Amino acid sequence: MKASTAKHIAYNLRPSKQAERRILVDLLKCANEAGVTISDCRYVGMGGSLFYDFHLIHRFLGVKKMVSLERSPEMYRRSVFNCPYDFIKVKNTTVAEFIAADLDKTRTIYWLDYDDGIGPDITADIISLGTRLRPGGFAFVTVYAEPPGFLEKETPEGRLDYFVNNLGEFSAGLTKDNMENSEFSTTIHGILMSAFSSAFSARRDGRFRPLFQVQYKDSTTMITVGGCFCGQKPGSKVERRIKKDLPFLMSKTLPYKIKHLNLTEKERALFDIAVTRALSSSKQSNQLRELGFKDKDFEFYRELIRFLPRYYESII
Amino acid sequence: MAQTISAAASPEKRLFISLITRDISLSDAILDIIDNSINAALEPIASRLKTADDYQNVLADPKLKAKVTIDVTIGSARIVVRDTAPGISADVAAKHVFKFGREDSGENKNDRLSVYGIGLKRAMFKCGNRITIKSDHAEGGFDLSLDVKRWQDIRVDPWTFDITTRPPVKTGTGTQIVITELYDDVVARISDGLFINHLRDLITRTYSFFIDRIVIIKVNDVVINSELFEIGDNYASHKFAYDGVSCNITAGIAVVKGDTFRDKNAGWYIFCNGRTVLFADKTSLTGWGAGLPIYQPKHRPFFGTVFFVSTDPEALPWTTTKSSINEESAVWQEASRHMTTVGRVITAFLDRRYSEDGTEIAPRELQSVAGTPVRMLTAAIAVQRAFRPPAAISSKTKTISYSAQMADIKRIANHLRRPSMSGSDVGRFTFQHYLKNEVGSDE
Repeated sequence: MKASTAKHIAYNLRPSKQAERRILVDLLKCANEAGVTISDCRYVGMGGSLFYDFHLIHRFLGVKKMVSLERSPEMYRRSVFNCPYDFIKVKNTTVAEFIAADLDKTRTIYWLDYDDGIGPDITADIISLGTRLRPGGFAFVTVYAEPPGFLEKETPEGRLDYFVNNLGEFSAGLTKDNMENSEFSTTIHGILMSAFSSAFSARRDGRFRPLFQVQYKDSTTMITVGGCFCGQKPGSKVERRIKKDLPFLMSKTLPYKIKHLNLTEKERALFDIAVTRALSSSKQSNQLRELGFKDKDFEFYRELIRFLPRYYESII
Repeated sequence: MAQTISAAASPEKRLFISLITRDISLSDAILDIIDNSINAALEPIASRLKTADDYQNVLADPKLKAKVTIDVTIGSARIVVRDTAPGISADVAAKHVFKFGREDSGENKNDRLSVYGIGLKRAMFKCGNRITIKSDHAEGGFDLSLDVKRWQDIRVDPWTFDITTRPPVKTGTGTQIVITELYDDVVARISDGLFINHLRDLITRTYSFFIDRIVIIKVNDVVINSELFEIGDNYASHKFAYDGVSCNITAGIAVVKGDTFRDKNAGWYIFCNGRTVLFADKTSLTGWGAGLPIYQPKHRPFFGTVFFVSTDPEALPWTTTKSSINEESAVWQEASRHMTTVGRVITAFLDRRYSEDGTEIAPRELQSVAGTPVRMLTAAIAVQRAFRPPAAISSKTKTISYSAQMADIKRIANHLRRPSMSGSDVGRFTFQHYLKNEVGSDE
């Protein structure tokens, strides 16, 4: 089993994860521009000890009411120690306990960024989000999209048994084929989508729009599904805005895959010019083609140009 | 030239009776008749019963004393249900009571347990061929004498029953239903020595909110006692309203009976307008194995209630037999998600309460976590609150214990060239090996 990326790569140096975070923040910015005010929202996430998402959401969206959930008593102590802002409440609790006890009426952005494979607790957390999310709120869930370690060496039949025995109605219709490694991420995506759809199906005060479906990989494939719960009019405005600014999120039924291009700084400089030039052919693009880059790479870079991080070593 | 002609589409009485009686048990049919009596008994206070909180406040009032007696007598020759409720007026009987199905006119705005306008007729048809009803009412009651087989043969539309009026009464109101010429399968069921006790148990559980407060119920002269459910005051609760239905959900730890939690009392209890629809349900219908874990004996202390209330009983999520839930009902779908949110903090705590060596925490110790016992009614009207699980005792070690084939242990020991290695040493070695080589260091 591959250990979690967070364990052996510094959490803030995972380029695909960082791109995913930035796209998510940009999606919230789009929603803000479409009339769903974000700075008034509360943010509930899992800050761990680095609070990277909390930094981004405060800095770029102005959110000043935040809750970080940490279930492990040991990690909780580190989390409190490393908490960057005074307005973040760090709570030593599970998502289930927090949601059941939460009486706050503020519109909320939940990002349940699990370092874990899908299981009954996670699908139940999504169902619980469906009972608490207020119109104008957002919910995102991130899980492993590869077989978790204890299923890695299992046969497809063994994996299917686990899903049937543990995921209840969310395992309905799954077959051995869905358990193959090549299909696993699609299966997890399907389960997350079903859970979100089921969680909000009976609500009459709005509709859940799955605006964000992103798959990425630093060392382990992860998937994030989420979106906005709101009425027809604001929902359509948000969708139109996202379609304009982040069209790659809207045009696919399958999750958008963040491609890891692994570029040098010199190559990035060429890509920056090539994909922002009106003409498809340029000195820079020709140079990149000579280096072996394909049309698809240009397309990916064009989509992700604003979101791919740059990391440098510095001596503090 | 094409003509428009009317094609016959009216129901056959024989088929109609067969359809409406096929899916109801004898005990549920008798409960349908009792529902009618309780519905009448609730009428004087119906205007105070609009939300879940109203019900629970009214029914939790210690000053409230039952004014109506329902006397059920069951024998192999006849079934008699007699009540001292305000009775049914001849006018209401002529216009509403015997119609198959409720009207949409809002005429029955005080009905709370009468839902579809079919229960009484279905119950009568289920049990026997001869039915007599006598009802005394302040505005004048009625008599009905019905031979079902003969009525079946009358082919006149619209369908009617002949009733005769009775004079108004100032005291001694009430209704008596007598069913004779019982059907063979009904007689066989009644003859089963277990049936009467089963019925008493069912009545106890179905009407626990009404017994002693609204009605006194007797079955073959035995007074039915209400079942006093209690829950520890460290519970979780949530309230919501949906499409004219108000709903209170509570989950916590039951109060121990004797030295152990009883399996038959564990699970979800679903009430519609105070009437129990599901008792101690542990199936996927109430989320077990879906949002909640699959029910296991360790969940025996779980006690959850869902209290639905509406002034329009048809908006409630019960089935026509009132013995189950209409899963397609939107309010039920919404409630089931809230049940997951409220219930799983309790199941998660119960899942965690096993000590290292797998020994269950003694029920009495669990009771101290549950808190002071309170009546379920009190819990159900509480404002939204959270269950407070005890702080987890953080331990740095955990005992792992499992069985393995002797031959496999020997094979590993031989592979390590230490054939005398004990089973526990093989276990420790393989654990460390996996930790080092598969998982990797955490530091």
